[in-house]
Amino acid sequence: MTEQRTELDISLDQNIESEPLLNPLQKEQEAVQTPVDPTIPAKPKKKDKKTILLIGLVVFFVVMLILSSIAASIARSRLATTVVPTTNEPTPTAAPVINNLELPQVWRNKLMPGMNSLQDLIKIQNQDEFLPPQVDILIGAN
Amino acid sequence: MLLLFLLLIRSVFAAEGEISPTPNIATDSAMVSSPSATPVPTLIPTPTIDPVQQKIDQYTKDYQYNRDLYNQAYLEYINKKQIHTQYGTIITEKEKLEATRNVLIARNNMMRTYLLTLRVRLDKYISQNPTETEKLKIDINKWEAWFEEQKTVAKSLISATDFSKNAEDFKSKYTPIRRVISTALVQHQVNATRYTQSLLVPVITELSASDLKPEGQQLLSEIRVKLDLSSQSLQQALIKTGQNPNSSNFNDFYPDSKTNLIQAKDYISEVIQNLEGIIIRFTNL
Repeated sequence: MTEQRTELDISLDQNIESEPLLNPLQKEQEAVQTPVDPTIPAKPKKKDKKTILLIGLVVFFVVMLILSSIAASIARSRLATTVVPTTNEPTPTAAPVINNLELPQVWRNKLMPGMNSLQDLIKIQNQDEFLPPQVDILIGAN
Repeated sequence: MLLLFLLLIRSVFAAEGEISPTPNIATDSAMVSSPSATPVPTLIPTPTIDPVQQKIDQYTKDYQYNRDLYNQAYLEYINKKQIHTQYGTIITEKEKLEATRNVLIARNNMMRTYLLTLRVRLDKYISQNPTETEKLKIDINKWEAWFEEQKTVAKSLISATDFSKNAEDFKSKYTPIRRVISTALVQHQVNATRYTQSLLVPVITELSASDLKPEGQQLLSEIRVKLDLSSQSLQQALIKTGQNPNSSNFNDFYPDSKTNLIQAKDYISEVIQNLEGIIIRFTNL
């Protein structure tokens, strides 16, 4: 009797472990909701941490590579806009105003013998005006 | 992996350098400003003593000294005048007349030395318009003589009526004096600017004859236009000095003329800077 009960108990225990305790209605619903489609591949098994890390690194580097190539193309386009034309075509006619540049001695002598820089010529014009003094023209008048 | 990544990035930028010809500004400017292969002997200009400038400096000091004397005498005159107005005695009147005589003498001295300095300054750039400048110098010299004469006249003034008549006389004379002064100021600045132009024109001519790039030639033609504009401004400044000399009303034309003079000087400054740029950029010196 004891052995029989024991076998029965074991078999019951196995049933309980293998199948969750569901009522028949729930079993039917589950069967309707999750139809078995042979075309869908079975869910992959859980990947281990090493694989995930490796994939993450690869993705990271790929993204970085894309970003760097984008940055390089932007830099290239900017440089291309500042290229100085090297042909003999006349450039825009705005007169160059160059200050603080050393003038060659030969031209300095031609321009202003005895002067130190071209700016000395401007000083000639900007001398003091020597304006007349303020005078009281009515001194002695009543 | 990281090393590989860095190598990849580096290779991308290295490729950039090969593809796009980036202008090396530092190198370009160094090429532009580098001296010529054949070094030019640098002549250190010895300081030459300009006799005209020496005279100008000397007369300017003399004028400044006389101006200080006038200012002192004028303060004394104002003081004595107030005292006489307050007390009205014979003594205060005598002191006031004495102070008036002193300030008149000081004023005449100051004006004479001012005119003398102005006349000497005209000599500096007289070569630009000798005829008109000489005429002005003669006019100024006449007024110098008149002020010299007024010193004696001031010493002979005795009564308050004499001083009053003298003041009226001076007032009437001061209009043509101011006209001459303003004309001389304009003429002097016109001459100075024309002198600057005269230094620039041969350089422009020489640059035109040289083997300049089209851009340089284009800039030179613009410079010529600016020179013409400066000449026109100078001419306008001079035209404004041509008031009727017999008119008793004097409207000081100097501020108007000064506007034109400033325009002309601005054009010249631009010409100088542009010439400097052309020489440095386009010549092989």
